[in-house]
Amino acid sequence: MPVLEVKNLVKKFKNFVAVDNISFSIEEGEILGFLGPNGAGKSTTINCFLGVIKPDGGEIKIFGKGLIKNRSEIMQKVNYCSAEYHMPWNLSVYESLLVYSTLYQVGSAKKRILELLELFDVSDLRNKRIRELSFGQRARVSIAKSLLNHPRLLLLDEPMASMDPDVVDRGIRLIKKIQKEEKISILYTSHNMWEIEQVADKVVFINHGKVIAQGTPLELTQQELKLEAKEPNLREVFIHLSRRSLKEGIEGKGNPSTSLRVKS
Amino acid sequence: MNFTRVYAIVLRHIFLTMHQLERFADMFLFPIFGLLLWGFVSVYIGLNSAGLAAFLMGGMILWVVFERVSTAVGVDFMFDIWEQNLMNVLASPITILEYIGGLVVVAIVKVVVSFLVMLAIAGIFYNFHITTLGVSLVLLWFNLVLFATVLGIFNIAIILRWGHTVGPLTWILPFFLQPFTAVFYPVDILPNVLQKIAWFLPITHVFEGMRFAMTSGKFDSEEFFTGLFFNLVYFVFTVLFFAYMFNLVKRKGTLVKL
Repeated sequence: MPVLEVKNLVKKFKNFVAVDNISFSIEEGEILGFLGPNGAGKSTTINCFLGVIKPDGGEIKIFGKGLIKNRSEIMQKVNYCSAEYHMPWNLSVYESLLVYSTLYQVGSAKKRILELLELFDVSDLRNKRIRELSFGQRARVSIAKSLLNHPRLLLLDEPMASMDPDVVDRGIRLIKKIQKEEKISILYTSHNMWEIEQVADKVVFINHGKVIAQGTPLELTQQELKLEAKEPNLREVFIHLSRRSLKEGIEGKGNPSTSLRVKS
Repeated sequence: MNFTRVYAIVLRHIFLTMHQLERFADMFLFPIFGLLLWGFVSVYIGLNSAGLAAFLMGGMILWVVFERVSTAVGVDFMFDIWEQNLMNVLASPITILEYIGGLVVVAIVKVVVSFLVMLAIAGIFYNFHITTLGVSLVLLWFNLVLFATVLGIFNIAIILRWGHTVGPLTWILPFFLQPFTAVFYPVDILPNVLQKIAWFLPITHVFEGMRFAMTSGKFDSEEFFTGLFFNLVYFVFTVLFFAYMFNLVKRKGTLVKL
């Protein structure tokens, strides 16, 4: 049973179709890179998964249960991190994490917080207020927050957007380590293709709200760039897919949302 | 309703209050200075009419209860918008009912503190003891806090829909209502048209009930139940209005843009 299953998801804002009939799934322990240019519909889709945007059609199932009717129960085992939103500005790192531990009803909250602060190398910041932290430090605290409740599904919306390459590298290693240990399923968006190549088992590429390609990073590279590539090159794939018009994509390759579907 | 998640919202505001001195000002300074001002006015008026002075002091204390609860619910909601923290909260398992429940609990805790401070000042400096109203006071409180909650929820609904640019209404709305609610004077003083508006406001019945209890030493159950009736009507309509707005902003996608 997929951890996350999306079928024919549609979201319109007046006449603008932000999410156009997309379907995909994430299996247990799988990391899915969710890619697309700015305004492609990635964040809208994630916000539908969180229940803060109401879809106009389709179905979202998480852990086999419908999201709309079971949101609270589902969210107990889901967590989210986005560079766009902050932790409470005027609270200290420890206080913020304690508030979120309470929201997620984390057992042994203090132990878990200290463990995560240690893991993300921010223990020395525990008494600093969130507003006093650098962008990179805030991002690390946000990722630590997203792991508080030992989530089974983690939605990471450009989590490393403000971090320097060294921190990104360490962050990626940590996420992969934790993901392997705890068998977390992750939906991961980023504009840094190196990050995606490092973490993703599978990639779903969307543009104009439609899934236009999906597969493993290597499959996408071979398919889209017509190469006998041995290594994935998602940066080139991203540029290629972003520039290809949606019309050309549909007319030239049949139904793009199914053309590269892989078994998971 | 999960009370642990409600407590999480309370905890967030306890920490926030500990870090922000202006939040203490909200709880202590505003009621203290308000009471000092009206206390001196009451002392002056009390030279001619002790009863009128008591009405003014009582009206002032109960008004602060109403105004503080209503404002606190809206302001505490806006704190999550100002700090761009709202999405992280709403992405958690919390329901909107639990979230607002948490804000109301925080507002009530704060107003209890303010109320105790006002009781002390009124007792020590003006020899005025509103607690002599006994059970009547508890029931007056109930209607006040209920209507303040209704107004707070209404505020949140319009902020959800139109963003924090309409946030100042949080402070303004209670004062829009004040002239009609007969806080410092009986409803009879108002022109006929305004009296009709006044009787539709639950807290008008609270202040009328307070004056009756102070004069007669008895509880005016008719005023209480009339106030309660209007409160329940407004409560139902406000909850429906809120649910409509919350649904609308989720449909329009503007909730995530707040």
